[in-house]
Amino acid sequence: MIRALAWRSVTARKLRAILNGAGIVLGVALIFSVLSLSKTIVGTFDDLFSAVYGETDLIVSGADAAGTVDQSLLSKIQATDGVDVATGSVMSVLTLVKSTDPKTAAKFDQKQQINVGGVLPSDPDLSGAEISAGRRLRGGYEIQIDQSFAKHNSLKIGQKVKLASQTGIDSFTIVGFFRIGGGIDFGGQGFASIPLDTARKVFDVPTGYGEIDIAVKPEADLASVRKAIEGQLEKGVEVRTPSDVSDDINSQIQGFNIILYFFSAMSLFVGGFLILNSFNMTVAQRMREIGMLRTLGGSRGMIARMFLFEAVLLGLLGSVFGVALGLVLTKLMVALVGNIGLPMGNIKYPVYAFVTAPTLGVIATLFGALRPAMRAGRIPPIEAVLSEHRAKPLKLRRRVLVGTTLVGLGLLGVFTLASANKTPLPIVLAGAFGVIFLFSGVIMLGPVVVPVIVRVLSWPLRRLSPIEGRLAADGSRANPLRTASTASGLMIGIALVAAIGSLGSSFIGSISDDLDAELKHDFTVQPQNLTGGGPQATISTNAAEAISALDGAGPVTGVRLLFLSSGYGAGMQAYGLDPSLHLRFANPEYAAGARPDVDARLAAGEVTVPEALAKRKGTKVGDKISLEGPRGARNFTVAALQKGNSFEASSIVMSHESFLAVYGIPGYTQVLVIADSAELHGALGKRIDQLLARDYPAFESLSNEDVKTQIKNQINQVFSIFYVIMAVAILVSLLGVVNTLLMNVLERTREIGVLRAIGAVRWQVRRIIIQESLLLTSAGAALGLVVGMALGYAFVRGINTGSGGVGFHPPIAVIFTVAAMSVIFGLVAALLPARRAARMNVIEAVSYE
Amino acid sequence: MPTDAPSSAPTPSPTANAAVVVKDLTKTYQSGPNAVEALRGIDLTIERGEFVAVMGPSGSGKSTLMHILGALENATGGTVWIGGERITGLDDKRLTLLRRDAIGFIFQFFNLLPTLTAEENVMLPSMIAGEGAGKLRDHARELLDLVGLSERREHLPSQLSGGEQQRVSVARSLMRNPDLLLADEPTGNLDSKNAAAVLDMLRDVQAKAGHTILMVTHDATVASRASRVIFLRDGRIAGEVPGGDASRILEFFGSLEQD
Repeated sequence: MIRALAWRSVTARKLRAILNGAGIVLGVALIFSVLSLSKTIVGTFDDLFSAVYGETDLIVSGADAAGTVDQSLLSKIQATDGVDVATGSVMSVLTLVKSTDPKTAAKFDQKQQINVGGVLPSDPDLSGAEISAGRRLRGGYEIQIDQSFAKHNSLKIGQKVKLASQTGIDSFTIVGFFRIGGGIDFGGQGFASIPLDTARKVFDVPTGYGEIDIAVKPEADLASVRKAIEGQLEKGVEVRTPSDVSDDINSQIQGFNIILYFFSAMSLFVGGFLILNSFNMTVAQRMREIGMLRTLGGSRGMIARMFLFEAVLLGLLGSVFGVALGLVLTKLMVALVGNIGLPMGNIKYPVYAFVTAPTLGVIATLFGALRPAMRAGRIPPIEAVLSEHRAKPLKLRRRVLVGTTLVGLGLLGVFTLASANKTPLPIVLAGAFGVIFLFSGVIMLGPVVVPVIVRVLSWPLRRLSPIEGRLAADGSRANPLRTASTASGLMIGIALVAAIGSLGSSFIGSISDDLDAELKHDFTVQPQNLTGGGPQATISTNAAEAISALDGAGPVTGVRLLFLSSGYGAGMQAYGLDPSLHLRFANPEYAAGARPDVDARLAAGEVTVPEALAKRKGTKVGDKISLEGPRGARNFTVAALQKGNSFEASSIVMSHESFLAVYGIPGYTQVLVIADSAELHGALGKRIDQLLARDYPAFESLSNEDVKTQIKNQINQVFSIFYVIMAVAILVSLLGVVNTLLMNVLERTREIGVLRAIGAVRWQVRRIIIQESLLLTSAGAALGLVVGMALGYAFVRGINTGSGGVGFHPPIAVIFTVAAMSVIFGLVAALLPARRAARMNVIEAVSYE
Repeated sequence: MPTDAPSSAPTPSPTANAAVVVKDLTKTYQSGPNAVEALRGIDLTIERGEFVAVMGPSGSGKSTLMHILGALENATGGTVWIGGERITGLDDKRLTLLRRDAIGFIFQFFNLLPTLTAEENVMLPSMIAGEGAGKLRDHARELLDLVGLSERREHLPSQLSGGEQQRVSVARSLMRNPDLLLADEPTGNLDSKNAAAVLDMLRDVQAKAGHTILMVTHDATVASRASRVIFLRDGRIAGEVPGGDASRILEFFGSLEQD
């Protein structure tokens, strides 16, 4: 009986059921695709490591993303008991040169990137790759390439290929193809190996090894061999199993995943909120029916169960379609993440996604329906029959009090997360709950705040069309609770967009402030595939010399950068420079107490430390600090504490010699160029471009404007996936707007009928509903922008307190985009309700009860 | 005579001086397989300044007649002229504009907009027509004075009694100075004292301002205030008596229901 009624309720209010269902579908699809996406990312790396380390038991390398270990380490390891084979290799990422046309050659394409290892031809191959054609390497400029890359680029054995490296362009003869673990795709990137001697020249790595791969004797105990090797390693050098390496990568990706999960959970939350509003409306609409059931002897529980059953029905149906949509959405997500530069293999749909996503969908539906269902049960039967039940008056004072407290706590939680340098679970939870508290607080304040916003926003509408604007504003004021919760649904999505936007604009703004204020150079030359973590490829010193020989080039200097993952300054970066040219390129500012003549001291092997880091660590000028890198741990005297927000000022700065001694990165990360005079700026830029296109196609030259644009693009690319997720949340909340408008139209049937009877044309009625919709969406957007920027502000302030270097910059572009979009949202959401209102039968509407 | 032929220019009414002319009006509702003939050929002329009451048992077609004369729905056959303009066969937009410019409505349930004040409700038809608010306000005040609600201008409908609300509604119907005032059971929801007051007002409006009024009612006493009472039965005009004598009207009405 209950089920029959519930089913009938769904079919009787088909449109509302469809809107609710669509909300669940979108939420579930999102959860499903995010789960699949992270499985795909992890899976890609797992595949990669099992392919590359097929027969490797242990790997010795630096703890950081780049750098080489000392060459003498190899023989020590080979001599260790239990070690069967140990091979040293150097690695780089080279670019397949397909064309020497400067225009096309300059365009970075992930599908032309080859991960090249330099190996000793006589060493056994520990990767587990099998040679599928041709022969092994012997020496000289020979190359072995993975067959799927060869196939994609139509490469043949015996053919010569040109590869661009840090030292320029080299020509290699293809001697063989190999197959890696089942022909997996890594986003189109290739794998290859060349002889070690050649690699040392081509990669400009005269000594050291990028890593040492070890196979343990079958009879030896892996753990004890590992221990024995560990004993010989300095701090900053690590021995790991292939699965450790893969776990490390996974834990790095984990942060990204957590953010993805959190954001998609927020959209499901918006979905639940949609259901909540919607069921409240259904309860209001079915008041008489409820009363009738109750007077006939239906219990409270029965009424509540009827609504909950309806919710389960919706949740289940929505989940089924949600998973189907999720299969499609995953492809989009994978493509987006691939765009950021992460290699993406074959899409993997994990089994748990098929369970988790629908379960969460049903839970969200039930969560949304619970309160309305209970409320429906509690309505006194007689009031229900007479349809006289009115919601209890809002306790505004309590709302304001609790809401404001929640907002405050929320912002504090976010600040805590952002200012933390390490993120253990409690701090992550503080941040997540911070956001949830913030939103809950704003939702509580909604009925107080939203009417004010609506009043303000309706002013221009009332000026433009006095009567329609007036009636639209009246419509949204008629049920402040419903209006507020509808706008709040939209607020959540918009707020997250504005918060991300604030982060982006603050990063971009701060970096560009630095570029404007602190950088004296005109051009930055860097590898095209330079990524945030550290140099996968570097620039050889001879390239720097070639640039400085160009007509119009003034001072030219190389810098080295590395993101530190261990030791003093973990989480910050190391910055290697030429002290004799330092002041030509930068305006360092030191805190009081700096030792005199800092640059001479840098040249003598001292370092400078960012003031904020020193404060946290209690470091003083003259103290010794220990830095760890692939070449081991070294002690350095602190010459000064550097102030300011620039990249250099938030790094540990040292001379190139010191940098090499700890981190073993042979080439430069970037080469900075100053034009001889301002007039020569443009001409020099062209000459550098020509030089790079001809001799060093793996590099790019960026003017300071280009650097800003590039950073902006990179940040936007990384954020694009969040924007997609939030777009889904916003879409869900727009369904809520449609729902509310439809309900308002229904409730105002009589008014609309009267308006039509006394001469309002359809278009005028339509305009009322459209304006009402615009008020809802723009109120939601306005609230969302304010909340989002508050969230972004708390986050940026937190980061600035924790690691420094960022100042809050309001996301101007996002603000304008959101404002424009909210108008479009309003128009779109009004389509159906406005049509309904305009098409109403006037005679029936006038006597509608 | 079929009338769904497009009417480009208003056809002059056969009786130029009449407010309403109805010729052979029919209306058939299609409900599933059954056709319900609500009006089966009505011929009617209402002169300017007349106050006509329409009576009839339920299902007699009086509401349908009212809706067609009010340009709220289209006829199946026949022709209707209001204020000299043919309204049958017009599209929704033209009908709406006609309602706006030529017809005033008074409903049984008042149907004031709950969020607008009394004055704003009176101004509403003109505001919909896009007239500027400044001049309207003066006119609305005059009308509220006329219906005796000068003191209640700023009140919302929920703050007014039923009788007061209906008086606001009368003022609203006069705002655009319509050719035809349609009153659908205007006293059906009022006590006798308020009903009498509203009817007095309608008579006043008719007598002093010369408005044409068509009122649908089932109450003989109410109908007796009109100058003429038309009886409908089964979609046809069953008879007509002059207003004034409630007992004669009751008698005629009784004879209709007995047959």
